[in-house]
Amino acid sequence: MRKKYVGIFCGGNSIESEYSLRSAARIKEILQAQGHESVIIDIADTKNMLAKVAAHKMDLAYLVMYGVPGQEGSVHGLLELCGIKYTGSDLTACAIIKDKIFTKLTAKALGLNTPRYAQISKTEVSDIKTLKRKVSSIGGFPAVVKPVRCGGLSKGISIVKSIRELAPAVREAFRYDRRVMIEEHIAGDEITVCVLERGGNLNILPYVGIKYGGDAGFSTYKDKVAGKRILEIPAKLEFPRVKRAVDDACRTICKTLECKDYVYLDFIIRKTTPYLIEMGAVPGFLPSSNLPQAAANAGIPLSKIVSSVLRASRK
Amino acid sequence: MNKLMVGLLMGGTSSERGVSLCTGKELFANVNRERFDVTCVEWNADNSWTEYSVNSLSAVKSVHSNALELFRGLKPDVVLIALHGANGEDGRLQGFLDILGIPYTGSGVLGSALGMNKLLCKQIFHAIGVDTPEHLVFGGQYPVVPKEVDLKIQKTIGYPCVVKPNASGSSIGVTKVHNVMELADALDKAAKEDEYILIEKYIKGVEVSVAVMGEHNSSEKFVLPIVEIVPANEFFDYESKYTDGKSKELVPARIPKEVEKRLGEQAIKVHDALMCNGYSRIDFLIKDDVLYALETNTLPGMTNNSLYPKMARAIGMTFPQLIDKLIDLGLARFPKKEYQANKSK
Repeated sequence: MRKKYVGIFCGGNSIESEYSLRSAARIKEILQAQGHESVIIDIADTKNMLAKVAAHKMDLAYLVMYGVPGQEGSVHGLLELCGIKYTGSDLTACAIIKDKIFTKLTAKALGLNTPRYAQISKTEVSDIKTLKRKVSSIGGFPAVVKPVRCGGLSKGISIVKSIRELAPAVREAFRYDRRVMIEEHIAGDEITVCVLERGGNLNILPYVGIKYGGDAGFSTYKDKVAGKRILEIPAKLEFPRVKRAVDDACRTICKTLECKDYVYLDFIIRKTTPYLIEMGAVPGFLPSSNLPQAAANAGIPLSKIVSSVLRASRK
Repeated sequence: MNKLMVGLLMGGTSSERGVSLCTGKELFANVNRERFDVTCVEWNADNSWTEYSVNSLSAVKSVHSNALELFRGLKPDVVLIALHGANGEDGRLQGFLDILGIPYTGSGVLGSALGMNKLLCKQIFHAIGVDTPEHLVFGGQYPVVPKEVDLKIQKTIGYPCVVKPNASGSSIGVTKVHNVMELADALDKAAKEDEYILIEKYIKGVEVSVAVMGEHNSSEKFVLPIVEIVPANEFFDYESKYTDGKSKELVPARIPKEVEKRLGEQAIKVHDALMCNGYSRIDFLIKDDVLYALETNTLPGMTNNSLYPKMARAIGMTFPQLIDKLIDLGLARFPKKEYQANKSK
């Protein structure tokens, strides 16, 4: 393959920026080992980013952005208008995937299971009657409070068991995002499914089972950053036949959104029903991240994924 | 008071370039000059960008190889988007302007991207409980074989049906198909516009368009008087859409009060769900009391003959007042944007 000059877009001003910078450094190492030249571009420094884009030397933008802004489509828009090819799914898919409500709407329309939800506006936080009505619309407590877009690494997310806990949890979530939702809590096994795409074909990697020791009831920010989650690859399924439903769900939604290169999907499996919780357009690339581990389990080293992404970007 | 600089953006590389240039010219003539100076920016068919002299539609100031070069120099206070179709209406330009921190009229990245993608849009309609005609999808990585498409149509939605490119506005590439003989041509026509082809069940009903003005999920948004489209052609196609006198448009529509109310509610539901900003126009077909949403336009046409200005006129809002309102909504939205609220280095 011809040597490329790659801009690695990462960082930003979100909770996930630091994690993004570390993943970007790993991608840079891999690109270097493959003989490509690359430059790290922190999207937080808009001036520098625009200068780099305007210089028009880049063959490709390798996107390693996790937060907002970045993953919601603005950087994609910039690159599209400047005629620079980029890795991963296109602007529309990324914008939908970064938004938990749009991901759920898409899933719902495709007939996939996803926990019930209700959006809560800022003015409703102190309106007990409305809060109660919304909680009962999703099946009552316990309920999960989440920022719709701007969270990341589980920040702003909490499980609440009573109306007393709800308002503070919603307020906390509003620290991260203008839009907040409450979601039906599904008790079950948490899995992450990483999917590789190449030429329209989807390769579903061995499922990553996520176990946690803390008492939060889910993997928290601390667990995630410290790499303290216990991953089980391939995940042991209580009912192996659920695999078919999960695979089908992944294929259906990835095809609809026309996901490119790679994507991951988080599910909770209750008995034999998988519930789609959310998706991610850009996986983590650290040794402790899901994709490198799931791929390794399938005998695919990360370097091979990266070189395949670079080859695909020629089109 | 210093006047604000409006960057009026028109042209583009999509099949709707011509419509956009018409929209641009009429917007140029009607922007409130007491408040704004206007710099016209043309996205040329060859992907280069032309900046015109302030308040001129013809004096070329400079030509740039890309948008970034132009906007880094121009730095308008707000961009008035007169683009249509892919490139302008699909979220890319909106993302670009978000990064540059330049306010603009209309919806943001997500609303624009969804509005341009009929398939995803229909899926959202479905999920939020808004009726939409049944459909089939073809294309993408699989070759479109008319014989196979015909078989699928016969087994599901039946003839007549409507063949549409997934990502195009203004009815370009849309054909009503009555039988298998007409199918291959219709598929070819649609395939010229987009790699995905949508085939919708044909619903013979009253065609109306509903305009929403204001920000999604705000209490200040409202529905304009509904327009009914009485086509002269087989249906409301590209030709009749942009030529005076080919189709009849009636404001208000000849529909019962109760249906009018329901249409308004459904349109608001779509406007909110797609997170539209400023304005949107949603097309419906009414049959047997069912309201079928066909698609949503996040940058509806703004020529003299366009529906949105007509509907605004019906509440006594002149064209210049409408433009003022859209610019103000665009400006008001911007300081609140998430990324500006985040810490910055």
